Amino acid sequence: MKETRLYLLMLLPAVVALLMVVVLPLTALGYISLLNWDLRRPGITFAGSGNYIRMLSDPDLLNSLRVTAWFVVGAISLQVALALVLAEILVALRRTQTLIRTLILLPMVIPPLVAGIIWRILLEPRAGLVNHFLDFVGLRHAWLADPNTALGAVVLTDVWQWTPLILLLLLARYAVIPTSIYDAAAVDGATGWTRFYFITLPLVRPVLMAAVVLRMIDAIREFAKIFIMTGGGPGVSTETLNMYVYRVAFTYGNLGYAAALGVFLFAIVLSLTLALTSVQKRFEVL
Amino acid sequence: MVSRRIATVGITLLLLVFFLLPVYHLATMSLKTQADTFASPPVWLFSPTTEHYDGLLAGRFPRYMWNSFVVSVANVALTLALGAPAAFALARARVRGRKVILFAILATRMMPPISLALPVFVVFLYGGLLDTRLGLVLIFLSFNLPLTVWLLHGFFSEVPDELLDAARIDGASVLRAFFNVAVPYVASGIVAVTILAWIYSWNEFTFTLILTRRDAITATVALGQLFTFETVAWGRIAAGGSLTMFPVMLLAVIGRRYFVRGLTGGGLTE
Repeated sequence: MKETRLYLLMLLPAVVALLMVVVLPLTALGYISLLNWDLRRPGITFAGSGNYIRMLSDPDLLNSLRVTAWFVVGAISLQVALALVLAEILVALRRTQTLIRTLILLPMVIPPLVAGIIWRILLEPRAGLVNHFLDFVGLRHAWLADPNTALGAVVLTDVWQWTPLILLLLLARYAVIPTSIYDAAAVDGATGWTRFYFITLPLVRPVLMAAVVLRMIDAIREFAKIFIMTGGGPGVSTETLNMYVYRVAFTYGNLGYAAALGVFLFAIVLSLTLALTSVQKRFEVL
Repeated sequence: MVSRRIATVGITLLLLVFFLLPVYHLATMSLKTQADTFASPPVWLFSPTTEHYDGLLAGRFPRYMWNSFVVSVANVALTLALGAPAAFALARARVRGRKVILFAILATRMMPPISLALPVFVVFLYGGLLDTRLGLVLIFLSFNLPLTVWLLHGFFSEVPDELLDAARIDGASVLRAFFNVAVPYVASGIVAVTILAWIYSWNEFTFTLILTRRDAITATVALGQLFTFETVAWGRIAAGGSLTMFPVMLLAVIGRRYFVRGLTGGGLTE
């Protein structure tokens, strides 16, 4: 019994700290969402469900959800596709694989803000390297200034930064697949696509599923890259829900409404986290 | 077979160019003159200049990098002090509700920073913590503490029961078993978590942007501010970006083996 109490004492400081920096702020967020609190206007009044009702008919919110969906789905499907292709190729390499695995770590460890800066520089209309290469095919373009291409440019940056993560997870999984499985398949005549579809894919699916949900949570929370590359613009063409909350709260100063949006964002991420744990339980990745 | 080999090598090279050239480009841009930066076609061989670093280091940027350093080191120290005992308790204690606590901790890790930053901004505003390094050290716990508890809990679970039991037969208490047996046993894990948590602190942007104004600004937010001038000083931005990313890249290469495990919240292992 004394032992259990000691364990609880060891746990207590961390739990108190998390209550202070996470649970308490979230409770406050919920409370603020019930207020009419606009820094541009004097006074704070009780709004009840007013802020939530406003969300139902907010075109900017609808736009931000659309942008978020495109960003998340676009970035992650490209990352998965690219990682699967690259893993198929890299798995054949022996000695150089370790070196490559170390080198491709670099994009994903640098601050997302710096990743955004790098690609803003590369995509710069006048002297950007990307436009220099595209000149050969006559495609020079101000990618970040065009509402039709800005989101694609941000997706590209996210693909650049996070494909290595999925690739490394796949390679790690490949490494523990016994070669005898492939040998047996070869005897049965399975090669190329058949081999990939019927053998490799089922074997890496658990890792892939968990990685996808995890990347979804991260992509929804992405802020620095979009902030530095486009600031949500041009117009609202790259404004994800995350960016929209920021604009309402800190550009407009409408804390009450921003808090309601923040609660909504929190709910989305929480349900994805629940999905993640169920995925991991089902596939026993944890 | 030969053509397949050539294709493999070719694609591997393309892959390296795609993932590494951008980083290389930023680093070299910080050493190019304005004329070389805007030269068309791009200049690959150039005589380096340190003018951008000189300009950057003469201003307030060193102070902001120092803020990044102080905040990240203090935050990681606090995170470990709070997180390591908690992780040990969660790994060893046979109490009901352990699974629930672990899930709550994982869920905490996934919180969108903006949802937290809004109420915290209000609290800091009235509590005098706005634009202080202490405020950042505390709020960075919101992502690093769950990460640390989650990862270390995994490591502590791997300590053999016999070792801990033997320590206790010798008359050592739970605390002694923790300090004398468990911590040394998972030392490499603790190093890995330290590196990872430090990188997260160093790279942080959202909280810092919202919760600082002038004095407590860190390197990442200072970099963002370089864009607000009329003419964008690309060379200086590249120099600042290089200074900010270099320490992280170094640490990541050193701690490579642990990195993927940490990035995925410990849910997936490499």
